[in-house]
Amino acid sequence: MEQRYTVSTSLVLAFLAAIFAVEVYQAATHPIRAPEAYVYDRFVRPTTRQVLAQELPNRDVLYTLLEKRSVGLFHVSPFSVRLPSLMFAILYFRSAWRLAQRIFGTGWRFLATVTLAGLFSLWWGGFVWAQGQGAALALQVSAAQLALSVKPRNLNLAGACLGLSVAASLDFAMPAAALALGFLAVDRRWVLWTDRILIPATVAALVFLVLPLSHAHAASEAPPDPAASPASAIRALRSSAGDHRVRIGASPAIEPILNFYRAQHRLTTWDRAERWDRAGQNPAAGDFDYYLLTRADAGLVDRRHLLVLYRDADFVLAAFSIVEQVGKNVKRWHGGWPAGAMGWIGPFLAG
Amino acid sequence: MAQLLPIVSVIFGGAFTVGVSWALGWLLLGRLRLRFHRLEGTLFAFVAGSACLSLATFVLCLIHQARWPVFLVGGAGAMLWAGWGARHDPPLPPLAAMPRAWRILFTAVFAAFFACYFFNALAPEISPDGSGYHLGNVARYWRHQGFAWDYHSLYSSFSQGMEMLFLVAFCFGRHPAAAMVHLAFQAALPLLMVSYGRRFGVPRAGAFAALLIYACPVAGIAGTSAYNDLAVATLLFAGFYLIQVEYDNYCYKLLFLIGLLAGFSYAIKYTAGMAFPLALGLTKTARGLALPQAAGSLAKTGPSADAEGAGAGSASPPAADNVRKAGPGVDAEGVGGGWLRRALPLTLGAVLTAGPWLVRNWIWLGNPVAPFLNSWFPNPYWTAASEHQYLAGLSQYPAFKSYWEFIMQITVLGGLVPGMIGPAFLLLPLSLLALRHSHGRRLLLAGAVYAIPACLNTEIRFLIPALPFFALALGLAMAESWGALPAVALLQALLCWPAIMDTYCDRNAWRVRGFELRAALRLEPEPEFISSHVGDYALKAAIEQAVPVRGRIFSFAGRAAAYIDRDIVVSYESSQGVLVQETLENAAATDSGQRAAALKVKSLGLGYLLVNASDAVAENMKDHFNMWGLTKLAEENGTTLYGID
Repeated sequence: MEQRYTVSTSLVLAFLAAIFAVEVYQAATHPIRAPEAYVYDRFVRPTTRQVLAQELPNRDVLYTLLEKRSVGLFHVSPFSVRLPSLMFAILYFRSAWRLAQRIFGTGWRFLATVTLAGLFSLWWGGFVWAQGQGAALALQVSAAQLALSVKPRNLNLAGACLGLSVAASLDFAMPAAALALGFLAVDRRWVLWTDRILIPATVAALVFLVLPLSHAHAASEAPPDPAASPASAIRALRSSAGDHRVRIGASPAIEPILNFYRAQHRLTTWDRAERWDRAGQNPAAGDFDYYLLTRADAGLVDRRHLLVLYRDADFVLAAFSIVEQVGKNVKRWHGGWPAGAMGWIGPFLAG
Repeated sequence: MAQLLPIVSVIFGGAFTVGVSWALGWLLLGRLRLRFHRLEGTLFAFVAGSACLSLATFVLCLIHQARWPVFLVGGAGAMLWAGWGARHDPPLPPLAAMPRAWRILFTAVFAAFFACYFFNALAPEISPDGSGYHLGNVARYWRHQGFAWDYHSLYSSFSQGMEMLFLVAFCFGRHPAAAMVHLAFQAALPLLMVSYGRRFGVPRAGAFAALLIYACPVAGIAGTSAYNDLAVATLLFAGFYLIQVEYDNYCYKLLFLIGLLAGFSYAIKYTAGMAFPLALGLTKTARGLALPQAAGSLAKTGPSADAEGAGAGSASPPAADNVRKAGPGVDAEGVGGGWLRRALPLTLGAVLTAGPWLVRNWIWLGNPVAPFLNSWFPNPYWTAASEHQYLAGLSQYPAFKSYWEFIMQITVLGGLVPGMIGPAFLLLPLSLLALRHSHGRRLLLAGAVYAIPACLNTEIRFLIPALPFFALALGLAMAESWGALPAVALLQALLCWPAIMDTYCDRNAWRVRGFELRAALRLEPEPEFISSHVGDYALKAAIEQAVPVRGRIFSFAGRAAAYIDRDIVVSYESSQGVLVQETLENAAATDSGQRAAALKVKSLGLGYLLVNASDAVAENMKDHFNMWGLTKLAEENGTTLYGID
């Protein structure tokens, strides 16, 4: 009877377990990133009806659904939104293992391949972040492994995995198509390929994407990731705001993070943070109690005569100050009214 | 108890019409000595009998005897005759069984949607065309106990095969009873598709396609309204089904039945006129070209015949008593002499059901295909220019940002095009894979032919007749992919459930919005429910009080004629309407000669005007009604009723 675990496979197993442990640690300790917070805030937090009503394209549909389930079970936290990614890491390791085993047996090439696959996942970080790419990669590796297996029904599963990978991340549509064509090129049985790969893949993708596809043409407002975590600035904001009801304006890159933080800590006295639109396309924006801005938007502090509460290399936290506003506007009044100043001082004079 | 009376009368009206159709169908099939399997025999009896009942009602309308006592006595007689005649008939054999899981899935989804559709059909009729011209014509025939020869409108000149059935139901249960008749056709279509699958050895594909069609949102709302699209789709599919039966068994009586259904399809809707040439072509192909591979073709080449156990062999049809098996001799004479022998019974059947409408229009309007081809058949009621303008208006799609948006609109959103066909139809390109099978090729051909009208009319319901064929082809294409059929069928059923549709489709999309239980059970008073959906209903009482019984009204826009017991001449529906519109608009535009224009309109027999606030003449009439010589009689929902002094 063949020994199930040789020394080399046990070593690889231990190595993969170590990598997975590192990834779990990273997922639990890294602060939330803007794209993760954006997906949570726009597609996980709202109800299905609200999600479908908003004209926003979602590129990580399957992941979003899994994240919704995870958040429902474990409440909102950076770890709970990343948990599905970690689950897919296990699928990735398992599929890579079996794929390498199928191709190379259990020799040194198997050892090298699985080690490289593990290192790649660590370097790439796709299984740590709450986004669909990790899931998509795991599903595609799984599809390749299933397609190479001898059981005919596994071909159907391979097709379904390809479709699910596209549903997990639309960025993986082209790789999925290439992989499917690769299967056809290797096998060359057109009918089998359409029945076992093409149709299951299309159906699996359609089941998840059919409704989100209606928003595919809409413009995305996914924010860029800020240079650093605004955790310190948010803590400063929390200590300053206390239990008061406050309205917060934020730079686009911070706004979803702020809303994620608000949901995580159940800060019901904070209104949902709104984007302060630098291009001026949101004229309603402006009357906030606090402004949490990136360095690029810090000019607003001077333009609106805000009171700076916290500043570091990347972020500025500022507050609207009545004393400051009245003082500055009265001082300017002696030299002539600045444009729009009546908007600032008018209410106080009238009041 | 009094509250139940309208409900009972509606159900009785619909059930009686369906029952009489069914009885006439059994009598016809008995006379033709055609025997089918149990389920398909029942369904073919219903569709063939509906053609007979429509024809009989046509004759009664000609002699102005379309009255409820005549229908009651005649219908009861037909049912008794059919029942008496069938008492010694041996039971029909059942079709091959459907896989158990599919039977459960199909029954559950069908029952849920049927309940929803039933209550919608039971509710007062509020659909735009149903409360407009479909039942408008029916109400007029009912008032006249036959055809109203002095009323000319493009909608009354269309063939009225379905309206003849509606008329029978209308006599007993008024407007919703007509919708009930359409509901019966809507239910018959998926059952026919299931039968088709079971007979030809693809039960899973048949059940899959049936679910796709029955859950289809636009088919749902059209089927529960007094429209005719589902009736057309059912008849076209039944005709195609019979052609497939005839593929294996030459039978001139079967060809006659196919012709009868093709002709009746035309009698219901002009766009279904393609059924006859297609039937002619397909039966010709069957004999002349494709017979060698056609016989039992699916059992040989089809994907599921072997896999599903219940193959075509075990479901071998009794077809017809006097069937002569297609042998080599028939094959040899295929394209030559046999062609005429097949064309004759087919044509005879078609002439019997379509002919009366062609003749009626030729004698009555001077144009057998009125309101079309007016340049070939000039007549005083409708001009070629108006026809061109009307057709151009029908084919005008709204502006789409991209092809993608267009596809999403017709499948998922349904706002810019009225209604949608359901998300599962996004997979339609996969149906091309059915080209691998001979059945698939024929299904795709039929679907492509019946989809042509959808290119000429932007209303998405014009796609309905083609959808059963495409859905079956899709089912055939996906039959060998494990789990694909139930997944897609369930997806369609879930996403097309009214409460779920609300979450994603356009809120203006034409669709079933719920069970409408309060309206259906008359817990919400009928007038309140109708007036909340049909704006014109608010003027009903005022019109019927102010306008004498024989008085006529001119309107710039189409009206809910089914609910207003007076004849309304609509501007774009006849040459007279166009003339009146031009006369009034010219006077308003030049702000002179208003009185002369009003008198000219009155001299044409139109003593009353219905004007919307958005009409071109509305402001002028409102400001200078004295100059026009008009009296304002009523105003509701932005529509004013004027009397010409």
